[in-house]
Amino acid sequence: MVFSLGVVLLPSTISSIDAVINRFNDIMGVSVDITSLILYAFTVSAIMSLTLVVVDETVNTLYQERHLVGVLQTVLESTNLRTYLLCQALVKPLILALTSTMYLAILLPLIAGTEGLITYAYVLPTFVVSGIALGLYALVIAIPITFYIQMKRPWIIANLLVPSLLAGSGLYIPMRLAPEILRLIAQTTVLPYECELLRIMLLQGLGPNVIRFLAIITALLAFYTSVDTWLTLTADKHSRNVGV
Amino acid sequence: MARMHIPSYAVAFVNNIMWFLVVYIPLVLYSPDPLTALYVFMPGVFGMGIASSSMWTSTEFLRWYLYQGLTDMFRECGLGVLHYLLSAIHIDVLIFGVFTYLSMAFATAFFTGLSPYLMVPHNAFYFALAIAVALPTYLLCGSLVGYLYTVTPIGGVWTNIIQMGIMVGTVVPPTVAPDPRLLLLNPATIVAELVRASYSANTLDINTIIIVSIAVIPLYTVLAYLVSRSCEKYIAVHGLKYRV
Repeated sequence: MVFSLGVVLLPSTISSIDAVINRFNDIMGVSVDITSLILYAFTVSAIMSLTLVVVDETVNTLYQERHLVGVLQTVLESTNLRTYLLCQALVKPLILALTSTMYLAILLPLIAGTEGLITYAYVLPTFVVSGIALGLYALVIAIPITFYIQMKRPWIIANLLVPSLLAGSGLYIPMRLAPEILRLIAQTTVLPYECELLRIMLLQGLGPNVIRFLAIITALLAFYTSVDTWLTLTADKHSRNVGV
Repeated sequence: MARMHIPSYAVAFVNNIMWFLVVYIPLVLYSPDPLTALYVFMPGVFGMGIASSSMWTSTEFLRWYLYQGLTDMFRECGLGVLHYLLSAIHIDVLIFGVFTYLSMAFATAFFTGLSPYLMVPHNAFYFALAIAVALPTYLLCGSLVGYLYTVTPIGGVWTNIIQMGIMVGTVVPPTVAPDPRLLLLNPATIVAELVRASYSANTLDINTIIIVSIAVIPLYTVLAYLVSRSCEKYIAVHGLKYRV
């Protein structure tokens, strides 16, 4: 929330709010008022909290479960690692997506009344799908770190990955204006497409372009699921051979 | 100690740049005058960064090291929070603070289509004075958070709350207050204003800032000593509990 307010309102402290809105409209190629602008900024900021919790939970928790807490032995005794890891990557992000964006359910109606509530109703499913896809993506990174690579400070990965992905996704700006190298990294995730999707839905209204980005997000979701299915199977075999 | 922290400094350096790119690229792009926006908003990062790193340093000493028994070892040798801050001040302010700020400023200018050279301070005296004021500011902010952390039960939350407060006057320019001079109560404001002055973008009168700067250097040093001594006395009497 602080980030959103900063991005939208701080420039007005050295000029005027109208000048900032005009500039925003020019860059985005839209024509919105202050309410829509704030509604957009707050909604997009939910991507930040979603990414933070999902990536951090997936990458760091799995490492801690194996190296610090040592619960994976219990997992292997009761089921297999593949089922456990896939369930973790699918169920945990679902819960995190709902809880980390829950504040929008209160905030958006406060800003824009019924329109805010409607906005929340149609952005929530996109957050849930993107959250799950992000969880599966994070698992692709978490498995090598946890099972195959010896790292003294594994928290470095999540610490650097989250801001790099957010900076490259064009969170508050069109993706074309994001730094190129970071954009390439971010394009391996659903984040830039989620940002574009929200931009279209909130600033231009529902249209055919929405389907395009939904299709990309769904395709990435399917791709990560395939990769994770193979990776978790390999991790399971590896753990049974060398121990957890 | 410094060698032990090298990976943390390296990660924090990249991490800070990435996070500030997330916010500062849109902030500059949505400002009708991007160069003025850089000169007004960017110096706040330096002031806030100095205060934040001091607060995390004292939190490290009183919280994380406590868990590992290192705080007790330091205290047995007669070394308290002020000594720990003094042991890190040259790296946190002179190397990490200055280098991170300049790198962030260059990166933001570059990615927003401006020349990075524009972010080289135009007036070296004001920039040097900002660094000189940053040293006692670092000691004071760190000691204050250390004291609050010691005498109150809420622990690390203080660092987050005070960080938010310190934003006003640094990242958020003093002009937002009815009387901008009120924000000189925030120690980091003076540092930020001096850096702004080095770009001729100060929002407060430069003569006032210089007079206040000369006064606060000894004042903050003495205050930091007194606060950290109170902190030590409290620990000697009541002990220190580890809190998450």
